[in-house]
Amino acid sequence: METTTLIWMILMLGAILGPFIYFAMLAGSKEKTKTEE
Amino acid sequence: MSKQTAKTEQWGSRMGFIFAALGMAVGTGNIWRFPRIVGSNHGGAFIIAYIICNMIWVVPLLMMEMGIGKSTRLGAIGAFRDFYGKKKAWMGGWITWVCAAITFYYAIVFAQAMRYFVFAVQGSLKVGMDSQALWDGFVSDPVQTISFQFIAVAIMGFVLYRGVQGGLEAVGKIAIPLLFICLIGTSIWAVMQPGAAVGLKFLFVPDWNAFFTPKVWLNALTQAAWSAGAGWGMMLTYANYFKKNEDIAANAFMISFGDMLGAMLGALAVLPAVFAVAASEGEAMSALGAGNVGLTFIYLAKLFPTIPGGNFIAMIFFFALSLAALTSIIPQTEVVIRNFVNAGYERKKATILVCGGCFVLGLPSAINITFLNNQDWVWGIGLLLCGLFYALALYKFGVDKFRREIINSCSDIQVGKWFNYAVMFFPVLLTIVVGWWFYQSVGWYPDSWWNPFLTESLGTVVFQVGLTIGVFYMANNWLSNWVTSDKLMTEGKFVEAVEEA
Repeated sequence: METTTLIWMILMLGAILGPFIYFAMLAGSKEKTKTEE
Repeated sequence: MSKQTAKTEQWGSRMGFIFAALGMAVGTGNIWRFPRIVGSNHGGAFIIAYIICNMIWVVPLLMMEMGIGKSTRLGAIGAFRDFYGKKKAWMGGWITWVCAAITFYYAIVFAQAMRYFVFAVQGSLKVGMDSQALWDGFVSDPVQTISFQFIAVAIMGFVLYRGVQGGLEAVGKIAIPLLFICLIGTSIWAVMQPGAAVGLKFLFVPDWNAFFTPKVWLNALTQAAWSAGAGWGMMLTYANYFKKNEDIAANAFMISFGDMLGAMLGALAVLPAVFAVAASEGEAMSALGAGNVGLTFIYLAKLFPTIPGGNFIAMIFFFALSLAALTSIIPQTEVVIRNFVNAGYERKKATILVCGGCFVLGLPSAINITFLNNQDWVWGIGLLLCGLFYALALYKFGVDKFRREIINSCSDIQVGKWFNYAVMFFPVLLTIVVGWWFYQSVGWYPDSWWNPFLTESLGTVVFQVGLTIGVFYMANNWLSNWVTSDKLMTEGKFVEAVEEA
């Protein structure tokens, strides 16, 4: 696999996976707070 | 709290809702349409445009749906009546109808995916077989198509009969992790094939010349609008079951990025394998241009057995496709059931009634594949119009007021004024996209584009959409009175505020 392909693959997947994990954790986090309360 | 709200079912946990919402967003479109569209629209350039279109169309629309659903705690008919105005109940009715019309034929799509899973298990997908004949044999045999349609409707009915926590939530918690595991497994297998690098280059490296072409953007916007389930009324319905402090903004972004992730996994499972096996780039492009059915049930069904381990991967792939269809058809049907519950029907009775109706009204699509294609074309356009109705409701309520009082009041992320601009821009985007599809359809039938009896003509869209809008508009008063659940809002104002005033 060419280096350019690898770099673009990491960039594209990161641009989607990163925000997904962040927002999923944010959406689920209030449950944790509520449980602690 | 009103009597109706107190009785309304709720999500058991946030994780349960997250899985159910991802199930709604990740459907067959991610697995059989996205790889095809990204492949025919210059790969990486399309992905960038697709992410941007998700931000300007899908995320605001999901926020609108969730905000309206959470505020009114009613299905689409009651929600439009109470949020937009008594004269607008027909809009909610028409949105419900569009979702129902899609569900009628979507049960057949679910049935097709299940049939191919069974074909893979039976070992019918083998080297040298005629995949076109296999497909033709299946779709031209009503006994097979109707039997699998019945199984599809029975499975979805069983889940919905069990209610929000025991059905929708429980299935999401199992099906979504399983779906993602299947997609990741298939993707890893596809990427490891010799020659897959060509497909990966095509998928990820952007062609900047293509990035500035209208075709890439129009396809990206259409894919975004159809794929994530925004505008169907599904998230409006799911928001009925929200707890009071459920985060609208985080959920909208999470669903949108989850949908994109599902689409990327679909593309990773399909594109590298297609490019690895095709004799030339031209042949790969020809496979991608064969339509959803052509690519999935004819080309991939033929491709899988030719690669070592392909039979097992075919099983996993068609199982994933079936799961994706199941997790999408459940919320679609729930949109209809919720309105019946609001009208006073007991949930279990409403489920039997709606699922029975879906089976009967899906029969024409099960018997005749051309009818299915016609319905897919007509209600795909209808779905884009649904987005406009939400925007119109917000214009009356106040777009900025909605952002501040409905979204930001319960969100960890404070949504900025970009939301207002995106909503104000909705009619322009809609006109451009629908206009482009109409322009294309005239090109498909230059001499008979007006004919309402052709499968994918402009005439058939105008006729069916116009007719149903007319019927629902005429039935507005009846629809408005049909929903009898207690009101939390009236004419866009919370009942408590009206009483205090």
